[in-house]
Amino acid sequence: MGQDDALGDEGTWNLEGDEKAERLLSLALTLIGNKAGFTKEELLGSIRGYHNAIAAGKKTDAINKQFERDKASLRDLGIQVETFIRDSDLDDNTESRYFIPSNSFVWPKNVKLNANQLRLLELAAKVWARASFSVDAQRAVTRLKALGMPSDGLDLSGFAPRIMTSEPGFLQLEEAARDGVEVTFSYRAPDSDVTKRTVQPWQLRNISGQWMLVCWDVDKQDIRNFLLKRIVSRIGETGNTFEVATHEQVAEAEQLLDAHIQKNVAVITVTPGTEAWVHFDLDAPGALVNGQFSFNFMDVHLLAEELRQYGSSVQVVSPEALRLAVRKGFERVADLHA
Amino acid sequence: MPKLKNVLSGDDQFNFLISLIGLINTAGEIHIDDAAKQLGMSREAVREAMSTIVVAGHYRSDGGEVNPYNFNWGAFEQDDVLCWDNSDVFLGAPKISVRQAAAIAAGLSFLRSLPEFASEKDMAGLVELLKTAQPNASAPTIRFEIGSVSADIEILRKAILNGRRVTCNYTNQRGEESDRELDPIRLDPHGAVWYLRAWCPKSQEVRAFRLDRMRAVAITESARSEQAELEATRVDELDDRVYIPDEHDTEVLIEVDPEAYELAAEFATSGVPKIASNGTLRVTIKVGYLPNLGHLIAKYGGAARVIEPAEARQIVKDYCLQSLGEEVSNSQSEVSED
Repeated sequence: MGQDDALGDEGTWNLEGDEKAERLLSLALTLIGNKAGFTKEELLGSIRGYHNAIAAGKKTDAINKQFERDKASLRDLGIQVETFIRDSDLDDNTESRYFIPSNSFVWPKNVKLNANQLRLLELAAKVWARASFSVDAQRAVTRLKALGMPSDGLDLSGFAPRIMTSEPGFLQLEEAARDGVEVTFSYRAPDSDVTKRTVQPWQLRNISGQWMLVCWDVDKQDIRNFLLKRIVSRIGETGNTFEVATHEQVAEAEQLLDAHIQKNVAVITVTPGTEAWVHFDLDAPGALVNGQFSFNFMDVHLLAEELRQYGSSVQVVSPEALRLAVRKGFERVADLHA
Repeated sequence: MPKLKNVLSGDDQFNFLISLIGLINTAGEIHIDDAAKQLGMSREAVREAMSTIVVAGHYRSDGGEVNPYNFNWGAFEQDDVLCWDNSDVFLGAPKISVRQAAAIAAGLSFLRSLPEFASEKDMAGLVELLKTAQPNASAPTIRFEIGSVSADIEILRKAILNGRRVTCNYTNQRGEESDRELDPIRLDPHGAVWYLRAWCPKSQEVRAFRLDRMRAVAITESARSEQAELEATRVDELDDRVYIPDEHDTEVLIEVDPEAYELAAEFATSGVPKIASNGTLRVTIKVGYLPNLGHLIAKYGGAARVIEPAEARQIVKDYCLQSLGEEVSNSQSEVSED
């Protein structure tokens, strides 16, 4: 069951979550902007949630673990718990002190959002279908609402296009790109064997409905794009980390792909009046040259998938690799269903 | 506006608590109903949250309590107004986490790729704001590009936002063409294909329509029907699968490799099933018009296979052979339309 399944109409509170929320809030409020910081002992002794647990006889080990989990939760929620060691403590006592820099926690004072911007944010959060990203997006909107005025009279209900993510590795790859974590996976390129790849994920890019991983291929020492749906294993971590990708790096990858797409030109003929004819919008003036339709494409096998949906109403003129890919796919499927 | 969660997790409660604190901080004072509305929670949830906020903090070594936020109960009891009596920590509106920013930014880039949002002047400010929530100079972890968007999407979007009926010519999955009246509710991109969810006055239910099977889409002067308006208020609850199963459907057992998981995600009869260790999964899909299986399965070039019934396997095989230009003798897929 996804987290979304727990949603209902009215906001109510469950007790266990309530205790955690209070503990997290107490931790955050105690540590924010408190430059002197607190040691772990001090926090465990003074935050009500831990204090009461200790008083109730809970084991130190369990409380330590809870503290670590709480810190992790705060980090996941975007709150930077930092540690430092006091200069005066350096010689005799090297205990870490915790604090949260207030500028990492709150927006600058002049940040405001207007009603239209809030409406756009709500729409942006709604486009995530099912994936746990919708949870993150909703939390963000809740926080951002503190920056603006209510959007009275703006109707959001009409328009909610959805982004689908049916690829199992999606979230893990996004995390790896965010945190600079090197990963490995098995990849099945069409018409070839499964190979193990080691990459540094930069960005997940959706082009015309296909999710692609833009990354640095550690083995090839080059920029590569991998289609998420061709990843056929779980995502593993190598234990190595890297500097997360810069805008420049991602832009370079994009240019390389664009150049690649510009080079790929498909030429097809389509039977008039068919679904394919409508799909490629061939009634549009100038769409056909000498009865043929030409267009750029990214990947031979992806395009072959698309074209196979139209059966014999589409015939590939060129390139030969595309014609073969379409044909081989039909032959393979026919064999598999013999 | 939809209410938020029913039973919130501890993390979500915490998110709500800091959002509420931020809201009161930015507003100075705010009526409890306005706060509830703005944050999408019930009035009771806001009251519960306030009682958590005022006790959050830590014990001093002398046993006293440090509670950074003291709520002005007087103002609340008299006027239902939320404001602080005094607060030791200045806390503005809480920033959002990197992942939250990524989720929203990707949603925005998705909206931005739609023609009507591309020129939204408020969009640029939001994108800048979200950048400040990301680590310095790092690229967004997710990016969305729709690709070319047909003029029909624009018309349908306008119809949805203005609550109008549209007319079009539609070729259904059996290849039958007819002029239709539809009350549009939601647009969904699925891969390279867009679907429209619309209330169909003729069949008196919400159905999915492929945009590439629509022609001559035109917006009318008539408002959507009452039923369509009712469905539009529940737009978020619409099943994300494009095919809504019907009791007259044929159940077909298929096997899919990762390259064809999307097929399972869109057509599976319930949830997404567990994946076998070799990456393939078996799932039952429901098909309204069996001959459609041909293009659905052939598309994947072997990554999707029909296991049973035999009739369905035959249909897929015949579709492939016909597409290859081969004679198909005595085939069941050549049924005349009923």
